[in-house]
Amino acid sequence: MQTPPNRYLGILQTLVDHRVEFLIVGGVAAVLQGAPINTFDLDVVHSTDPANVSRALAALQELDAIYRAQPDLRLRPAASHLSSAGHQLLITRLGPLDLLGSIGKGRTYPDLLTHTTEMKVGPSLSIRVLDLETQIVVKEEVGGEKDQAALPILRRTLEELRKR
Amino acid sequence: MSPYGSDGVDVTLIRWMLSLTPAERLAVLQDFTDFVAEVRDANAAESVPRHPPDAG
Repeated sequence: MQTPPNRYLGILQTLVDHRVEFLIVGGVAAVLQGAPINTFDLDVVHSTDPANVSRALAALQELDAIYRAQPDLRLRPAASHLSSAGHQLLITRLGPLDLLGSIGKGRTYPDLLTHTTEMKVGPSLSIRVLDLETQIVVKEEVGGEKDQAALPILRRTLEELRKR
Repeated sequence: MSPYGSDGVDVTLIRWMLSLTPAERLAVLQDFTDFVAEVRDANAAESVPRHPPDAG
């Protein structure tokens, strides 16, 4: 059995094609800003506005997204899931995708939007990315082992960025 | 001189990443995940399907 594909750009392009309002957080956001870390899942915080949830569901349909905890059951997220502040941990035909209603201490899409920068990640693809300062604050809030482990690299990357 | 700070972080790697564009950084990550998948596939005696095809 072949390892399934993990295509970050394909997932992002699909979300953009469906006009989903979202921003990248987590490991991929850190990498985009220069942090030398590895990650396998793409974490995004989406707007839980009803119209956006509808667009996100259409994108997830195209990506054939199912919950990855029990892939054999092929459970698909519903509008009620995407409208919540919870985390939807999905596997798509292009790789893992986590759709997060909030991060840290209840920080939602509108809270985070002012802490993002737009980055060009493909030939004609620009995406909003959570800045490193806020990423660090969120990881400090969460305080999990995985988050704590990433903090020295994020802090040092921010330090180097500020020297430029 | 050690490339590592007191926190054990390799600053030379950070500086190299910062010399790239965001799109290039994403490509580095993509290459890494592709490499890991290739190695896994080359070594896997059996693996659990993460996204099985439609049963129906």
